[in-house]
Order: sequence, then structure tokens, then C-alpha cells
Amino acid sequence: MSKQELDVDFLADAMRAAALEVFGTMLGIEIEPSVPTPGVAVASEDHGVVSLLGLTGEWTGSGGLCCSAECACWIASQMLFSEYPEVNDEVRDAVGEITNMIVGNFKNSIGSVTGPLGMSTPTVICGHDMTTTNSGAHEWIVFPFTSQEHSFRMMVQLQPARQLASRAHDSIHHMLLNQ
Amino acid sequence: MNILIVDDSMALRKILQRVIRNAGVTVGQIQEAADGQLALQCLEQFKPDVILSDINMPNMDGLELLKKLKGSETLKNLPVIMISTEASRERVMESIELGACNFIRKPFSEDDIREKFGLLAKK
Repeated sequence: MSKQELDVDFLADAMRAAALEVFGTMLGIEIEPSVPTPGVAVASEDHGVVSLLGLTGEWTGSGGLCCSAECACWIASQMLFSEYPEVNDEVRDAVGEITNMIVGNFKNSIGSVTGPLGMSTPTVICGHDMTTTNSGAHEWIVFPFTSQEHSFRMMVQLQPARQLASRAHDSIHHMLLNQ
Repeated sequence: MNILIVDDSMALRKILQRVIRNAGVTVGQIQEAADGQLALQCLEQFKPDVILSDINMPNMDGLELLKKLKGSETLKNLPVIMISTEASRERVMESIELGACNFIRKPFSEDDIREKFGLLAKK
């Protein structure tokens, strides 16, 4: 496998296994994966929730979960056995923890290729018409999942840390030349 | 059995409480803390039989908490079970070397909890 990019099928297998295990074990729910797609940005639904984690190591980037507010409430309800008519702190916390578990197990699975990766605590944002992009404009790989009447997307973006450092160096060099 | 659950996720603390009870563990009092610092404060008043601690937390993480506990004359023998998605061989070994008595990987089932508490009871 290339040292410059990770095979999408390899990532999809790891993400699929992690998401199925977390939803099956913690929520008792079967989810159905769809075909992953690349994308520069992931726009959330009209009123949505985005949960993001930073990944660091020899490869660096982000992982996350993106869904509608309704789906976030459903995830929290299944997880905590309570009804949530709207997104509140408990819903954000539950979505953050689910993201933490899925991305955490995903990055453990791909460790044979990427080496050990560190992971930040999740940041969960709720709002309207959100778009997520990465500095460096590296593409997200988006992994759609459905269950019952709900759908959500896991997403990941990883690039070699050296490539990112080199890009930052080039940007600074370019800025200095143009002063 | 009195239990202290340390995790920055309120959702996870709730789930752990439910799963521990459903797993058939004989539970006395359960208290919760959102990070290592708050756990140490809690331990000034509360005397648990076991601590379940996450690793990746703000302020004071689970490994730092473990070091503080093992460095304390009064708390060093308190069993600590680490619980984390960070379940690489290296991370598990690091936890055990620092004094954790066991390790639970997230996500976890009732069977996982039953097994770990069963081992604890045997010790």
C-alpha cells in the first residue's frame, strides 16, 4: 500500500467493522453500510450535528460523524433509554462518545499500516447548514450508514504527517517570497 | 461493592452504571467523576472497592490518575480497571505496568463487565 495514500477499501472495511460493532454492542442496533465516497467537504443536513476528533501520528487528520438533529436524538435515545425531542447536552455527549468509540476502534484497526495514532477528545457542534473542510484541502472519505428510518455518515481524512509538514513549509516559504 | 466511575462522558457513565447492574454485579454505592482531578477529590470522601477509569480525559487523564493512586500510601492498593477505546497492546501493557488490575475495551458488553468483575472478586 502507498505511503502517500490509504486504500479506500481498506479504510471502508475498518470503518464498517468499527461502526457495526459499536452500534451493535452499545445500542443493540443493526446498521447497514453503503458505498464510501470521496468529498472535499461534508455538508450536514439543514439542522445537523457534527462530531469531530483529531488524529495524530505518522499520519495525521480527522475523523467524525455527521447526521441530522433527529438522528442524533435517536442515537442518544437508544443509548441512554430516554426520549430526546431536541439536541441538548446529553445528546451532544452521547454522539461524541459514539464517535469516540467508532473512530477509536477504526484507528486501532488501521494501525498496522499507519502506525499508532493518537486521538483527541471529541468536539460536537450543532447548527444549520454546516460544512466541514480541512486545512490543506485534503479530501474527506465519507462512509454512509443507515438504520431503520435514520442515516448518518462517518468521515475520515488522513495524510502522511511529513506531507502536511512539507505543505506548511511550502506555504510559509511562499508567503516570505511574496513579502 | 462500592464503585467509582471516572469518564468525561456523562453518557458513558450512565451506560456503565446500567451495564454493571445488568451484569449481576452486587452494587452498593456508585459515584461518578468526570476526570482524574475530580476523582481524587471524590476519594477524599468516598471509599470505593474498585475504580473504573477512562484513559483519554481532559484536565487529568486516566494514566495520570493511576500514577497518583499508586503513589499514595492510602490508595495504592485500590483496584483500578481501565476502560478505553485506546486498546492497543502497548496501551494495555502501559496501564498494567502502571498498576491497573485489568482493562476493558470500548465498546463493551455485559459479558465483558461480568468477566472483569468476576476476576476481581476472585482476587
